[in-house]
Amino acid sequence: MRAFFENIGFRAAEKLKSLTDFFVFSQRALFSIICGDFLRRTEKEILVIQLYFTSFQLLFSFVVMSLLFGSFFIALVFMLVKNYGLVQYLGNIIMGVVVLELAPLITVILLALRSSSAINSEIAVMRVNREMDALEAFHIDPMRYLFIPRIVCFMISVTILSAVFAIVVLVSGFVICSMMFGFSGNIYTELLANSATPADFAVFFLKTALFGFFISVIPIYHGWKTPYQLTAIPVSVLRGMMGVFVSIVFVEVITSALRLLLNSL
Amino acid sequence: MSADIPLLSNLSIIDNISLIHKFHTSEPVDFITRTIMEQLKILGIDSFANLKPASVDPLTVFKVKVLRAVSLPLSKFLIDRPFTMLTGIADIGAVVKILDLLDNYVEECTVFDYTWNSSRYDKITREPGKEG
Repeated sequence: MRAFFENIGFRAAEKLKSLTDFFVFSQRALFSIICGDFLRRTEKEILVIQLYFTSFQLLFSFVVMSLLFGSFFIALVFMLVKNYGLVQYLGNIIMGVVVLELAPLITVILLALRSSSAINSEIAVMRVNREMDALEAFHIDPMRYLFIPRIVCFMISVTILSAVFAIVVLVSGFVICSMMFGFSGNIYTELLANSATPADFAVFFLKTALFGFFISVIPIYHGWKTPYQLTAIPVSVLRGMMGVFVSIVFVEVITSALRLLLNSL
Repeated sequence: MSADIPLLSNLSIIDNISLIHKFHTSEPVDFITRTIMEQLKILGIDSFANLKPASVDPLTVFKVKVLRAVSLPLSKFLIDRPFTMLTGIADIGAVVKILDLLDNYVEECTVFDYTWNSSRYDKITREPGKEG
């Protein structure tokens, strides 16, 4: 019986230690971002390359996907609005559901699947190959040189791609709206403008920045903590991706609660 | 330099060397690139400048590691067990040749190795005026 409780205590202590390590790591990363470390010469170079791989390379397929998925989704929403006689709430529904909820969520899921897993395995492989040790041997801080540009890149990419998704869906929404309800461009724009508040936009930017931060800092942390064994790489990616999923849910809940709070004020 | 401090696999040969300069100095990128290209030319590997370390042979990787090491303001240049990095060579001759070519950059070099490899150093200890 005693061994059982000792085992539970040991596991809890391990979890707590790993959680504390993660928070210290995140805090260091955040502080480095605030200090603008990514604006130095080598880091800026990495940031540009990462932005190219994470956002630019993906842009065309992302726009096509947004157009296909967004158009069908918004057509479905408009049909429901029409059937239930909720046309007066159309602007709120478009802004609330499509722009503030759907756009960041779809973007973050796509980036997590495509780039978070890549970043996790990249850092883990570098760790196992002792390339991190090589950087440290030459007095190059991996946090500054490798991690910060990637984290900043994700924060920018999620924000930009979410905005692209929202714009594409709003434009296709206008086409569908004018066909279904006969709205003109002016009415549609006015409808959207009246439905959005500055607080909504603040939450949008906070949400995309938080998404970007967590879906990069978690895989980086797990990659960095990989033991020096090749077989540890898949385990590291698995842990990282689980962490990413939990963080997406966490940020979604927190920002939704914040939006509810701000709207009720 | 040692086998435990590898080149960065996602950077090209030239970037592996220039990274240290770019990170620690404020020298213009053009100047850094020119200097490194000159050094690569001395060792006859300038045509590999834009290749990744995985695409070149162990001897070229060794040469790049030497260049990376000498690009730092060194107090002492030390090679740790060279035959763990150059498994295909019979004796230290190839390393000595590289260091001779980089005479302007390497003032003094110390090599650490296992005693059972001492016969592989015979060539340099026999030459007058040079220490093993």
